[in-house]
Amino acid sequence: MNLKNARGPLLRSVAVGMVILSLLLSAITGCSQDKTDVKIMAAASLSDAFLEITEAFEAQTGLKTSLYSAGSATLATQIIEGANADVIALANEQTMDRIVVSEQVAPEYRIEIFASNHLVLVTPLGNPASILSFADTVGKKTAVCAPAVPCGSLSYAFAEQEGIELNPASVEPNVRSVRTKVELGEVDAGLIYKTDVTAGLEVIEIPELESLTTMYPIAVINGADLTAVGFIDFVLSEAGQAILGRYGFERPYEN
Amino acid sequence: MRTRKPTLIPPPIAIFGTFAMLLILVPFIGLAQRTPWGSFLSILGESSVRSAISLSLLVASVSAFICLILGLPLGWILARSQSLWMRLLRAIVLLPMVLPPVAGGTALLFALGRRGFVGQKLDEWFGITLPFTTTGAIIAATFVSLPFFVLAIETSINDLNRDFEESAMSLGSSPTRTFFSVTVPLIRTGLIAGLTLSWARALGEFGATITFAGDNPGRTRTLPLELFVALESDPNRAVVIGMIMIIISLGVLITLRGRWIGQK
Repeated sequence: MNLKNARGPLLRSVAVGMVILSLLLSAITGCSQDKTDVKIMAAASLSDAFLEITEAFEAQTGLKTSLYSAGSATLATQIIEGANADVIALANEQTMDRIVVSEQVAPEYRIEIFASNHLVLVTPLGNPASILSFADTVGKKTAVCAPAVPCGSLSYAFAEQEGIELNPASVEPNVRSVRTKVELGEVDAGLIYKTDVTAGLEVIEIPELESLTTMYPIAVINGADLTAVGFIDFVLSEAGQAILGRYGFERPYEN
Repeated sequence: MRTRKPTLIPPPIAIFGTFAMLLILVPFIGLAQRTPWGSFLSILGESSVRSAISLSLLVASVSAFICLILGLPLGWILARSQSLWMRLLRAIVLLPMVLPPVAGGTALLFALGRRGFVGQKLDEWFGITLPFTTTGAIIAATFVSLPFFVLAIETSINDLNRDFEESAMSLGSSPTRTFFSVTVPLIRTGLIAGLTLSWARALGEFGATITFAGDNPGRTRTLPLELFVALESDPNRAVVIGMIMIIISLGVLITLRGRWIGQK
């Protein structure tokens, strides 16, 4: 009975609603659809080196890139759940395998190994807990990466090799947050990559750590175009390798 | 009570209201349809998940208790004081509500961390360090949830008819006694709503906790942190932990709303 009167305003408000919603949606997608040619995801330990590499790549090719960094495990999960990226660079091969298994890596291109890295034991400046060896960290406050991220799997593998049980005060989601906790003096020591050492830290020499290396793979994600391959070629080129070298990364299979 | 005709929802309100509902509902449906119900119980039974659940309940409950003890007086002060300084203070007190929790955690770290200006003294004088301890996690949770409680108290006291308090005092009741035997019972609805909100906020706390208290299994690894860790290695576990959080929170909201808040 009331329907006839109600239908007019109902239709009109549906129409108005649709217009407003589509405006909103186009505003949102308009913001996210900037003209990026290569969307790169890189492990946290790569963030500084890759920032310089992307800048050099942009200067050379005139293409636009975007760089997103997080712990390798986080990146892998995001890719598996369908995150939009063209290239992914991770801090170990096991994490890349997770993505390969989920069939997110473009099968027509090789996964390249472009760098290697190893851990170092670091303390805050002044080494307040007087740590001189890995064994000295027992009973002290330490921070390490979570076992799920490459620096964490290296840390736990090293502890096992040394026969020492890790009992960290904090298990951090990526290598950069371990570094921060050590720099701030919240922990007495931490295991981070050699390439993440800053002037705000002291490095304790442990030769055994140097032989425990991790390899950095880089891959093209499904649906990416040839510019993604061009970016990987740039990383592998002399120019790309020189930048990585300046940040302390070693060339893979060199030693 | 007079019976009314069923309310007719005006079409624009129905449409936009539905979209609002969908925006909140759809992610939960996403989680529910991804939940591996077959392995739900086995994941729930894992010792790391159980310890995260009990730690979360402990942290949220202690934090809500601290909110009650500290937030009740603060809410009263904010509601009753008229000074300009109080208004500035009020803005600062409510800041953790709108601040990204990770910024709050950073602030806590620089104040109460081992080298923070207060934390340093705590370590020197009493040998207390807060990061990586359950106490640290409780402080982080209280920092973010206290404003919710204070705001609920302040609003309730503002809405209060002061005649009751004034007649109590004119009959010889002391201000303290008036507060506990007149004011508090009168604002009990707001108080319980505030407690629920701050408890729920503390239960879900992630950013300030991981920044300030770190991730220490058994001590600071609450359910949200357990979920975050699981998401990196085993998404199925992450989904189940998310479901557990939803069930706990929904249970609390429904129970409390039905019992105290919905029916005045």
